[in-house]
Amino acid sequence: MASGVKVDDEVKIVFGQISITKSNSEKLKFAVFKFSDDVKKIVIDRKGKIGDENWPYQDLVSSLPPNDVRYVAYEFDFKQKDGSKGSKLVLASWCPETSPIKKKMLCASSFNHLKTALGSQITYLEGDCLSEIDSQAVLDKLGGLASMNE
Amino acid sequence: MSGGVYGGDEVGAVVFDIGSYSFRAGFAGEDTPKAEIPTHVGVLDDLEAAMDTDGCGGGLPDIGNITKKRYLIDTVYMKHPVKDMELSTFLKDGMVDNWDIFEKVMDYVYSRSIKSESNLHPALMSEPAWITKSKREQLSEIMFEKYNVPAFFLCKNPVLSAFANGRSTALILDSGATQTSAVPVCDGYVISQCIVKSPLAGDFVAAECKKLMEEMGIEIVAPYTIASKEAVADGQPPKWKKKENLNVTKSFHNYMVKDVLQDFAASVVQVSDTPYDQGQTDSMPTKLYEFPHGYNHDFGSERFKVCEGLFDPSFIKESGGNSMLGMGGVVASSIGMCDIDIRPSLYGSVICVGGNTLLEGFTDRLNRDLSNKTLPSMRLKVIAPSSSSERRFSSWIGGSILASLGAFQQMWVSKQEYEEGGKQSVERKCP
Repeated sequence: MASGVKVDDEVKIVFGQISITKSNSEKLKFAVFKFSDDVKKIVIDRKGKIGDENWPYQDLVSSLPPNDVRYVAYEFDFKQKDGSKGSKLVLASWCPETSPIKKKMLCASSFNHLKTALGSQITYLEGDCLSEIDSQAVLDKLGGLASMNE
Repeated sequence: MSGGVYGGDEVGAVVFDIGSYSFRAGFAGEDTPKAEIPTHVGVLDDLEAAMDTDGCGGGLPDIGNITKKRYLIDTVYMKHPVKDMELSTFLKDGMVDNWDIFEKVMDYVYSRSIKSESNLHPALMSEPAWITKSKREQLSEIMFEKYNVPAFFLCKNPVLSAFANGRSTALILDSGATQTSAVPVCDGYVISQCIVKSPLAGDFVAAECKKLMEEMGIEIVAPYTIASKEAVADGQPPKWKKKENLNVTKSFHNYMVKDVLQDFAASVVQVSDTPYDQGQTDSMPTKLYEFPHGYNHDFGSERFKVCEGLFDPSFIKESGGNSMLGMGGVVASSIGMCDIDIRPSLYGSVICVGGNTLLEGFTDRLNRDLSNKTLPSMRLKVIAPSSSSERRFSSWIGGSILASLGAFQQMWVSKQEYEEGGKQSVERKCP
């Protein structure tokens, strides 16, 4: 079941810059996706590197709009249970309870298509309030000890 | 509806959602269905009786049929006492069983509620998660060949409910009239092997209320039998006069009595926060209920007692109660059957839909029962849309939004595809 909403090519390119690119100049840390105005496709809302505004994960998810839906892709660094450093791609769907039912529907029914379009090893989260997609929720999901994104 | 934000293509699709109690129909993009008509229809065998009721003009006379059956559809005609009218439903286990009646109801909906030709509007229909392939094929055949719809789509109820609550992975607890089901949805697809169903639902609560009334010696009088009544004080015997010569059938009478019980359940019954305890509920505030024949009574601990069986089946007196699953049990056993990796996401979004979940205190109790069944580290979340229409019509609303999305227009099974690919095209395009 899907809504038929397409994923813009630009989204895939930016996602590649987060997941694959290693060179420091082009390497991205995060990106936020949204729906285009005609709701035909998923497009880039904003993207950023370490040091950009709101880059720590907690700040980024806190800055999401309270009445609109977004998807967040983030390269999440964390301390594993054995003490070593782990890194995992996180794709979170932000679907706040206060957003209109139409947007919720759109966001949920397109999430699966976005997942398949981006592929690769990703950890998914769905949330309708901050506590469901914040650092702690990601850590619980990954089984990590502490976030290393500050 | 405003809907301007998304500017979806105006296709005027029609959305149908069939429940065991009512049939919802309306245009895609609107907030609530245009019509909600009972799934039960009145069936008359006798032509003369049919003539008598011509004045109502409700049903559609079926001239071609040799037995001269006449169908009385919609609240106004069906809840009216007619001699020898049997009430029956076209559904069985949530799926269409009697296609004749189903077609009559569809004719009625198109002519009275939608008020338009069926060949002008694409149709989206919801279906239960356990639908069989043959039912789907028969349904698509009727829609394409009898109603000539330009495009058709079938969508599973729980998926629509999950999407309408912003989740692509969730456990849908749908407690309707005839049954309660827990259906896991993962990435927008139903995991059909893990569906758990229980007969403890709205009708069960109504039956428990009936038992309570018998114990308390309160006669349930359906409004249609009352000729006149007078106001009486709290707890005083009712003063009312009965209508004579009604000659209605048993099925009609039972339906009308159940109607009263359902109203009683909706306004008085409350689910206790903790397992039922007489002493504790005695201290809860009482609620006054006035029966159709004028009798009124303050209900105290009884109003908690009648629905306790929903959550704790061992509370049901009859034997066999223990073999049934309560609300928490249905959810837990359904999730328990799923792959261990997705269990946390399912517990993290348990969505309550269906009219029966509107009982006061339902979600609080479910939350409590589930937290007793899960590890404390599990992030448990019970989601319930706050407005009653969103909960009763969640799958209709989901379908309405989906069908109105501009991007969705490529998903329909068009008439051309159906003609070229046959019935299988529906199976292929609608997972």
